[in-house]
Order: sequence, then structure tokens, then C-alpha cells
Amino acid sequence: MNTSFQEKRTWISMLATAAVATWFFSQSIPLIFLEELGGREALRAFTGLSVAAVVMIIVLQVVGHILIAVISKPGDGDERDRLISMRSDQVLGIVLGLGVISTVGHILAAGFFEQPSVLALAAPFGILNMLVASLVIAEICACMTRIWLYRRGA
Amino acid sequence: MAKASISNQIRRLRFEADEMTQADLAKRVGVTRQTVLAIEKGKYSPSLEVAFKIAAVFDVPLDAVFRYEPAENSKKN
Repeated sequence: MNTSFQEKRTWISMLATAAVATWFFSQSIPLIFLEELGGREALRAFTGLSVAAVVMIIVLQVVGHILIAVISKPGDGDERDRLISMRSDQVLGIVLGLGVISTVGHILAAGFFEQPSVLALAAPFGILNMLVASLVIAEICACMTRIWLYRRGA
Repeated sequence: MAKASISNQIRRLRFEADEMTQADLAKRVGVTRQTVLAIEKGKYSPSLEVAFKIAAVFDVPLDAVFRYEPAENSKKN
């Protein structure tokens, strides 16, 4: 497979983010609907999960980068890598922006709807989850854009 | 609106330069082999600096390596 070091790095970042996010949200989402919405215990648990998720992502990425550095020659990247990175960062910004707007929309919607799911997501703990989800989705979209641009040529 | 394109003669020039490999050219120009491949296939248009470096490697003028083809010409071809 004709894959550059930078593209392999992107694959590692995307897979690590997806794996850790899956674990994180499987633990975090059930907490949203606990009785004590936005309660201290839920927020403490969320903080613990966040720290654990950050450590896991760092460890997975370091191990992944070491492995790809062993099997392929590491490089600094060139002008094409920088162009691809710039374009994928634009996608990241747009998706993250949409995520933040959706979160604000949920908070505002809670003033008009009585559904428990809307209220739960508008509580501090729900908002935190939505913001983290936006960040994760934006990062995965950016990685997918980068891989698509590498596969396409530029 | 038809899109203009930039064609190149890198593959031929590499062949004439003692069958220089893409990796060799990439090393001399200071880019990755994947970038040389993308330029050669016409999928990526390099910066002026890289374009001049490629021409310098083959010791030919820039227009012997790259040719700008306006939309009408590309349509005919």
C-alpha cells in the first residue's frame, strides 16, 4: 500500500480517537440520565473519565507512532502535507462550530420543551457530553478529510 | 466552466535521466515520494519553488517540465 508516514499517523490518530471515544461515551452517557442531573458525583465521574480518556489517547498515539516509525521511515512532511493539514483543519473548525451551535440550540430548546431528553442534555452534565462529542466528531471528520485528500492525491 | 490543467513531463524526464526513481527525485527536491507521485499524475500542482527545483534537477527550463493548458485546450484533448 502506497501510504506516507503522515497518512499512517492520521490513521493512528483517528483509530485511537474513535476507540477511546467509544469507551468514554459508553461510560459517560448513562450518567446523563441519573437522578441528580448536573450533580457533583456525576461531574466528578465525568472528570475522572475525561482524565482517563486523555491518558488513553496519549498512550495509544505514542505506541502507534512508535510502531509506524519502525515499519516506515518518519518524515517531517512537505508543502502538500501542510496543504492537506490546512484543509482538514477547516473541516475541523466547521464541524466543531456546528457542534457548539447545536449545543446552544439544545440549551435554548429546553426552555420550550418538556421532554426529559431535552432537559437532560441542557443540564451541565449533558452539555459537557455534547461538547466533548462535538470535539470527537470534529476530530474524526478532520482525520477522514485528511485521509481522503491523501488517497485522492492532494 | 471547464477547469484549466497543468500537465507535466516528469515521468519522461526521469526516464531520460538514467531512469531516476521517484524517491531519488523526491529526495533531491525535498518533498516526499508521495508528493512526486501526485505531481506526476497531475493530481497536485506544486508551489513555484518546488516546480523550479524539479526543473533544476533535470537541468531544463520550467516550461520543459510543466505546461499550463487553458480550459479550451484541455477540452479538445
